[in-house]
Amino acid sequence: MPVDVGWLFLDFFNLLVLAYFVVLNTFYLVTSVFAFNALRKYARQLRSVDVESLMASGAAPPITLLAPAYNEEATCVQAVRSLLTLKYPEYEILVINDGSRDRTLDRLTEAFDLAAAARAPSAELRTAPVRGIYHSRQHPNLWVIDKENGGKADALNVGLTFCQTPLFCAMDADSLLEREALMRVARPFLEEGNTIAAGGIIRIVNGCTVERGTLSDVQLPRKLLPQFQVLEYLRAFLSGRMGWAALDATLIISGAFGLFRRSIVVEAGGYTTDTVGEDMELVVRLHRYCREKHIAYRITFVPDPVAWTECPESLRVLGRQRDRWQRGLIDSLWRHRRILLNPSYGRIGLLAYPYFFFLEMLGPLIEAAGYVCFVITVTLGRASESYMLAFLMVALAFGVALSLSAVALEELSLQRYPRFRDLLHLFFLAILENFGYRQLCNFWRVRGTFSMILRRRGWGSMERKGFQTGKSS
Amino acid sequence: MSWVTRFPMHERVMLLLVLGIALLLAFSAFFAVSTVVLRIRNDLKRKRWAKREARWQPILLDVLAGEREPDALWACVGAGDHLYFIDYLMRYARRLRGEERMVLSRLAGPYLKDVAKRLRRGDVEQRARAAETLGTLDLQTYAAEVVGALKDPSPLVAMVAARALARREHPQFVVAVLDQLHRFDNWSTSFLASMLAAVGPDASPHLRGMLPDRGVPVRVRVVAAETLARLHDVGAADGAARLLAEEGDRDLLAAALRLLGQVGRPVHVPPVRVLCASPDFVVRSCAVEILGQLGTPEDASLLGAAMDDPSLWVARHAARALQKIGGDGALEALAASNHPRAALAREVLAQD
Repeated sequence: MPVDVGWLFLDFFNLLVLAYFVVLNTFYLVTSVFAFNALRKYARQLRSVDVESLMASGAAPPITLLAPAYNEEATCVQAVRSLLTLKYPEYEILVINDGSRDRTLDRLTEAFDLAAAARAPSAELRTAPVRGIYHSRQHPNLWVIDKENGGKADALNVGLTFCQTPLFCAMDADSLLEREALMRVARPFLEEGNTIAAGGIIRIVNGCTVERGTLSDVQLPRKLLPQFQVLEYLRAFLSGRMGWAALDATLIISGAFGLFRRSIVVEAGGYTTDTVGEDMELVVRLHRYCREKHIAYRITFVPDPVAWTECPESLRVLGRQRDRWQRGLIDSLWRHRRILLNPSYGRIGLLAYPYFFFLEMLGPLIEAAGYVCFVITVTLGRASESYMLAFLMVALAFGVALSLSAVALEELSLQRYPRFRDLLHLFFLAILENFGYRQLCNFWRVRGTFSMILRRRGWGSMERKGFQTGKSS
Repeated sequence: MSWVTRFPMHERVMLLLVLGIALLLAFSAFFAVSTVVLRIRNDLKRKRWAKREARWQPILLDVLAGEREPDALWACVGAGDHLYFIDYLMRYARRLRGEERMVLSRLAGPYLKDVAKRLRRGDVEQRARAAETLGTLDLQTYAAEVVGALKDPSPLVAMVAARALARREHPQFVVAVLDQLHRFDNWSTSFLASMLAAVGPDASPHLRGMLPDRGVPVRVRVVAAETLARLHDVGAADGAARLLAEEGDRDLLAAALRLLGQVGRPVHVPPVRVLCASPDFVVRSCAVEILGQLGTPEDASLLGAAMDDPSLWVARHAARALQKIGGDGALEALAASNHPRAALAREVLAQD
């Protein structure tokens, strides 16, 4: 009898896993379809509205770039140089040195001739103490705030406290923004007065060549691990975020590049410091704040302002990053679980939130258990042909189709990888990633889920190599 | 479907799954093939473009320099290249002005009818692009079409048309644009003001008329005030001062204050002083800022008190205003004290 119950449970669970894959992939498919339409529309709109003349019209709102830096001595000077070359009428750069233990502050001081200066706060947010404020004698729009370590969210709050412009751009100090990125990401703020936040696309800089703070050659990384991440980012941003934005249900803006209305973020309390997913938490909280206060608002995603960022090249660092992302996701969703299936939050409560809650948060557990059950079922000889086929279909074939659709979206809209062989290689990766890489990522996410349950903290450090400045051999 | 029923149930499921996998593989193949086709098509298009441009460019430069007649260039434009050619000219049109722009308009002339057709029959993006092209290359001939586009059901097309019409060279269209201003609810007021300011002083009388008109939506009046400020329209100062006493809307008061900041005179200061005590911090902050521009050293005590305002923004403007009216002494004293706003005073003094 217990054996029968066991088989029954196994069969039921196998069905559950299949259903999970079907629902998850159907969501991906739907967002891809919406993304396809939105990207096509966006590309054509760009041709009818001249972004440069819009910005030159004198209406471009001033922006402050908030770049928190922690132990970024390898990349901080080059990253700031790159920020200084951005094309935007009026912007200020606030680098927040979050108690770095390396020579980040010294490097910045030497490179930009920093001198101590006074700057009064414009908001009152609780943060770790500020140790000093420095102003560049070479570049009047560059400031560096040195503070005690408090984490990225705390550093952003310090930036917000000293921000004096209506909009601020949250980014990573090691991200490389394309020169027109600010112009493009600021466009929704001109076109729709109720826009409170807009995210841009993040791409992988590994393998590309950077010269004088500008990307001069785009190509795929040489190592397999970053290559997989290129494909993952394409899928996440072009199919995922673009699709959700088209559905007017953007729930995530990457911490590496997002533009926000300062006043509403300050009103909502700034960044939450006791989470590792401060970027998602802020966006979810902004949705909640605006809905509860009946403030008309829009949070959107723009597909072509690009921030290039270095991705992990080792399994160890990548694992830590994914672990952290999963913890951040769970923390944000759990904090605001009141939104889940709550009609008063509109399509956020009824569509986006349930998707992230059931499929992105709980999904890795189901998927991992599904793989285990699959192996058990096959090993014990209980796997019927139809089950094997079904599993093959939903776990692999669907995944390949979706990854290829992301590559197609890239080619349709932005075409950032000019080499034909890179394109073919992306096809190859779309198949290959389903055999090992995807399962590994899922494992890290499961680990992140358990870390969250066990309340383990910590960011996990990212090892930076710095941008590749010469021509790659 | 009777043939399906001939199979046992489990084979039907199998059939369904095989079909599902085949469908997904077909999708995958479709995506892969269409991506490759897209890439090849885009590359070919780019090459074709480069070839055409290489042929057109030397002739265009000669025509712009007056060394050759437009016919020389028209002879190189193939029957299927009309819209490409217009796009090519548009790239230059955005950069050129005056005589050279007129040459471009002449060159575009024979092909603009195709663009005008798109303004009537294209989809939203095509219509927007057509409005932009006609407005840039030959507004004289196609004025009726572009003005008509202001009433296009798509706000994007209407906005592109408005931008094309709001130009210093064509002040006659300003009324048509102002009539449709209420449609641009989503666009920021500073953007709309900047667009209207491009018309220049010819827009001022119309804008001045809108300012006190309560029949006009408040947002449009705000845009009017912001535009008049950008135009430094001295004649609007009295009207703006009257608004301060008569209106209660935060945005309108702030816009009127900013207008006074540009064109106000000492006679307009009393209502500004009153608003320094407004319960709304946005209005207070604007009033304090403007007092710094219009006020006298006698306002130092009022501004000094504003340094204690609960709003950091009001205090910030008060510090700058104090400096502007010559209240450096008060600021220095504050900077040297333990006052909670001492850092602010130091920052403002350092910027001097």
